[in-house]
Amino acid sequence: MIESDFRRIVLAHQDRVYNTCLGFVKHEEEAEDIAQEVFIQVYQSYDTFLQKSELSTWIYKITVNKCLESIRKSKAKRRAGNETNTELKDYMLISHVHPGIQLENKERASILFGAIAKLPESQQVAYTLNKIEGLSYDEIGKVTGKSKSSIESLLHRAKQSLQKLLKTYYEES
Amino acid sequence: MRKADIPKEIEQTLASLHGLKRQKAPIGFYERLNQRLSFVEKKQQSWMKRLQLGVAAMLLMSLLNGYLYLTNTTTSQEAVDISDFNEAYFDTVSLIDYDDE
Repeated sequence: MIESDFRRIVLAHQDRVYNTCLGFVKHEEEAEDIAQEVFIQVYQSYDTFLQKSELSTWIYKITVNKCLESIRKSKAKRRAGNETNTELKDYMLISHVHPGIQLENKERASILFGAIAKLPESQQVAYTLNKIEGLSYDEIGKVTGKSKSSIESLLHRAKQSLQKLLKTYYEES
Repeated sequence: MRKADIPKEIEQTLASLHGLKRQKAPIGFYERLNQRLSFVEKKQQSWMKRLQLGVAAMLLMSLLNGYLYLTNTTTSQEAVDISDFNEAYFDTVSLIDYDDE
């Protein structure tokens, strides 16, 4: 891949990739680290990109996979460290929140992000791409390889699960 | 929190992502990425070199092996008769006779 092409791709997509990573991991340094990994993968696999989908969709796919990989790794680390803090109340108060959240919403958003982290992976991806990245159902479908209707149903289930989790949280606190 | 307030609080929590400002990649992102990429490439190149060296060494060993096999074939005349070993080891050894008391 020619360096000028790579530079053009990075500059065109770096903000989207970084913001998506932030949506998943919430921590700025970690998000930058993952975003770099995404572009390294793009650089190394560009020749195998068959252009069946749009370049941005392909980059989103890599981004989502890298973020999930990182989340799985940190979950495994927590398990290995015998962190058995399974109480919903403690689990849902996460220290890092997306920096783009409005100040008056920070506390609630922290609780919401904690609840999102408890969702099944597919719901988590659909919810994050829709609410944080602002992707349409069609776009999420292209990234995840699912139909529009299954994205609709995933988001519906995600909202229901979040309502249940939040209800339990507020009843306990 | 009062039970009656919970549904409203849930709705407000779910709405807390509204108005979220998209974040831009930090300044110098491309430069840092480039540095990391060249580091990764160097690392991969050194691995490739090691791999090439390994393959070359294996090839050399198999060539040497083949050469030794072809040049060091023993002929039937050179083969040592097994009866020589028999004489050398067993005929000279005095065995203990347990029956002789």
